[in-house]
Amino acid sequence: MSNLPEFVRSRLALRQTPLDEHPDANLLLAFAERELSARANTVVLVHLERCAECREILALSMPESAAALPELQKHGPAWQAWRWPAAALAGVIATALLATVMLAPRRLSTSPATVQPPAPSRTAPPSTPVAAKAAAPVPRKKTVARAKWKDTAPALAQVEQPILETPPLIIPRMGFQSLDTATATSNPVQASMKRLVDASIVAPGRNSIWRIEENGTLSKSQDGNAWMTVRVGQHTRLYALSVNGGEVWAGGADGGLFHSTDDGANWRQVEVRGASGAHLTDTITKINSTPQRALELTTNSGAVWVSFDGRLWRQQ
Amino acid sequence: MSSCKDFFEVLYLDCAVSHTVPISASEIDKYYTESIAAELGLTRSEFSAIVADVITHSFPGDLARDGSQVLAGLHWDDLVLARACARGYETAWNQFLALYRTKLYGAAIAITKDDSLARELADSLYADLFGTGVRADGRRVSKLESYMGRGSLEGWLRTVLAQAYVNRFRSQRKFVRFDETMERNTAAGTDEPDCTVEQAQVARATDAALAGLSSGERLLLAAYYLDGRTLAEIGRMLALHESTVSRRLEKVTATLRKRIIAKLKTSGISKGEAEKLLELDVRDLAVDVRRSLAQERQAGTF
Repeated sequence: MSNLPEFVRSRLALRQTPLDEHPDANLLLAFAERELSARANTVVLVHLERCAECREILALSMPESAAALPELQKHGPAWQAWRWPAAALAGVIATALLATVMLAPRRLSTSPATVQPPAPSRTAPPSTPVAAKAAAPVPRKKTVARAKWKDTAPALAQVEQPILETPPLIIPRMGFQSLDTATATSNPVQASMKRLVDASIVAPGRNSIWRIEENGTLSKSQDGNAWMTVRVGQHTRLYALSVNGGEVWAGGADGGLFHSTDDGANWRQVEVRGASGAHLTDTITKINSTPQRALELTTNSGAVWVSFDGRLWRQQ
Repeated sequence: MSSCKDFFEVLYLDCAVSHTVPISASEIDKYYTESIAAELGLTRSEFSAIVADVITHSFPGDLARDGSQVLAGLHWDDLVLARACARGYETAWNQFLALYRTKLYGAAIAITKDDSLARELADSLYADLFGTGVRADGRRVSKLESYMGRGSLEGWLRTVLAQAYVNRFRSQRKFVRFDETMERNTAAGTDEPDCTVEQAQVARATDAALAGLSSGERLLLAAYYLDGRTLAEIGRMLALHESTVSRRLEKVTATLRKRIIAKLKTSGISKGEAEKLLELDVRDLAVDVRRSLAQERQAGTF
């Protein structure tokens, strides 16, 4: 960091005048949590640049980043443990797919008279984009997530959503989809926990596109480029999302389930409690709307809770 | 309290801060049913009174601009929890203690870096939150009544703790920070009539350049160069990444320097001289003055 001339520093210090009135805790908090309008924000900034004591209060009131991190991230990102096995598996899959694609024309070429133009969509190898993703060099994590989202956003915007029939669309990172599928059959708990860390959950709504960020917050966007954080409940880390038109369900840690019927303008926390009085306290890792108009929650322990009205719940 | 509801229905809410916020009874009902107010035992009329209080004490500029947006952005569940606690509802207190007791002590330790001091600070805040005084109507005066829902309750508790800590520290340091007084006097030395013409010019150019920066830029400079905060700390304060803070500081420092030199050049000082003057340490100057004064006194004793 370049040094500020001592003379300039002393002139800056002269601007630090003792002030009689200070912003109260509400105003400082609203400033810190970005809840103020631009105008109010400027008023607080003007005070802070002159008041060392309020700057100190602001600095002290900030949570230390390590303490603010949830347990999952305290011991380092969990995806790191899966890096190399995933890369190896992605390599194997890429090779297999490449071999399939290369062998297919040879089989056709053995009988040129019978060659037919390939049938569109259904018979086309569905593996092409997967293969491309798997074979592509793996860029840095954030770049991958953003690039994939940009590719997918226009397509998502065009999808019409049937009522209560849209499971959350899971966009994997770093070629983890195959690994997810593989582990999901052998160890659902591990698979779901890994999905928490490795997958972005994105879902299109009536007017907005929804996404759960890596830090467990919910964001929405009108165009897939500019994202706005949406507050739901009291600091619950979110992991699952289901969107049907203007109806949005978000679930996360400690059984936290939140519901909005107006495209996220208002939220209500839904208590998940069985007939026996047992509460859902596990982490909700997946929310699925079934064709029978039921809502299905999957937890990190593998349990599944179902409700037809969002009030009465049954553990399956 | 029913008159309060009628008031909302008919006249809209006329705040004590000389602006009118249209909020209807149906809007209040909506917030009432969507929050956990009823679960905590708050009645509709109590809830209406809380809304009125929040609007009256909210930041005027915000409400004048877009009152309904401000109301929609309030942390209603935190707000009703705090206010239900302030009214002494047991369910609310149980929930508050379950949610925040541990966090409050944790925050106090993070602020004070001392276990016993943290306990003292947190206990003192608990007493204020519970309410030690009693009003004329028999209700306790709880600090939680001053929480307005403009941000999370957890963040508010941390801010109140930090305020209490700084206030205590401030009351103590009044008697000990002699060095700070000296520093201020030294810095103010350039305003004294015995400073050279060049120093006065540098002072004027610097003041003009500082005034030309935005408040946010001056806040960055003050936090880093005066308070000695780390880039990470400033980043947390301003919700910026550490590298962004670093980049902006570099840019502001360079801009400031460039503007001061440009201003000095317009006063007829060459670039080389301007840079030399800028590097002059006023504290060195003050030391020289003190030394020469001391020599004068010694000379006088002979």
